[in-house]
Amino acid sequence: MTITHTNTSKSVFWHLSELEPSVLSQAGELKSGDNPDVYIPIEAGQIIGKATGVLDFGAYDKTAILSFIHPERYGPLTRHTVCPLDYFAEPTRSFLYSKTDRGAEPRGGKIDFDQPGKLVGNWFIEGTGDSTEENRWKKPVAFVHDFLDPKYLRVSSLRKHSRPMVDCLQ
Amino acid sequence: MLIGLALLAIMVALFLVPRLQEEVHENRPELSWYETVWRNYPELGEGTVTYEYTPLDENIITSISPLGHIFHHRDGIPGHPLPTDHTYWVSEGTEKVVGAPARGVITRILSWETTR
Repeated sequence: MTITHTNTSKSVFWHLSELEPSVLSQAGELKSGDNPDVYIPIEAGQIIGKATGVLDFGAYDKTAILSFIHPERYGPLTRHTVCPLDYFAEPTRSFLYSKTDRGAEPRGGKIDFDQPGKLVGNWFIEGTGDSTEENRWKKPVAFVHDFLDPKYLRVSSLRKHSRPMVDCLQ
Repeated sequence: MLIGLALLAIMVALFLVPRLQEEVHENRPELSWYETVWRNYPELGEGTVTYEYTPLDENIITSISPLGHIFHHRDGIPGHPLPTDHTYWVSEGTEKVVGAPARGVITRILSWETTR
């Protein structure tokens, strides 16, 4: 579910197990695989649904420009990723950061490691296209720092069409 | 005579207007994926949001994974081979209420069946 707060600020929740009836009634008929544009105004704190497992929460700011060498290879939101925790006021922000296991800055983590002329960052096989739903998982490989402890280096790649291979280098 | 001219003008107008509308529609550039996602809603303005509410009850949040997680499959969901662009909120309980962190408009809902 995408919530547009302003034309430059969005929140996205993944893996909601159900929608609040008041939201569902305005969403029209939903079928599996549907990705409809809707227009459902909501207030802060309004219940929007339920989650049964881990809640995935992303925040995106169109004015945030990440250091991807080829931003066009990423989705329209990913290239403007920000950490949602940074958008809470104190003392909530500090409380939420106390729930993370990352001590290094930036405390909210990092996804853009690309540096021109260096191995670090995300790599794609030429010709695999941009990050559309069809292409997004095609043979990327990443040489990045660990999301919790950046002193550890991680190499991640897909084995054919199966799950990612993640190795840890020190 | 005047009535005849008026009727002719009306008929010409009725014939031309739909064609002009079609041409305008045909000439309208197709929105790219980026433009579609970041579609402009004039009434929402621009600027940074401040979250007023945590999406989960603070009392049930046990841990939050920051950005950049790369991982294998998780509970049947394909993993992220590149650093992940969102956070993960782990919490107590089996069915948790999720609230909007700030005022806004739900503009997209992706629906799919899952065993998760």
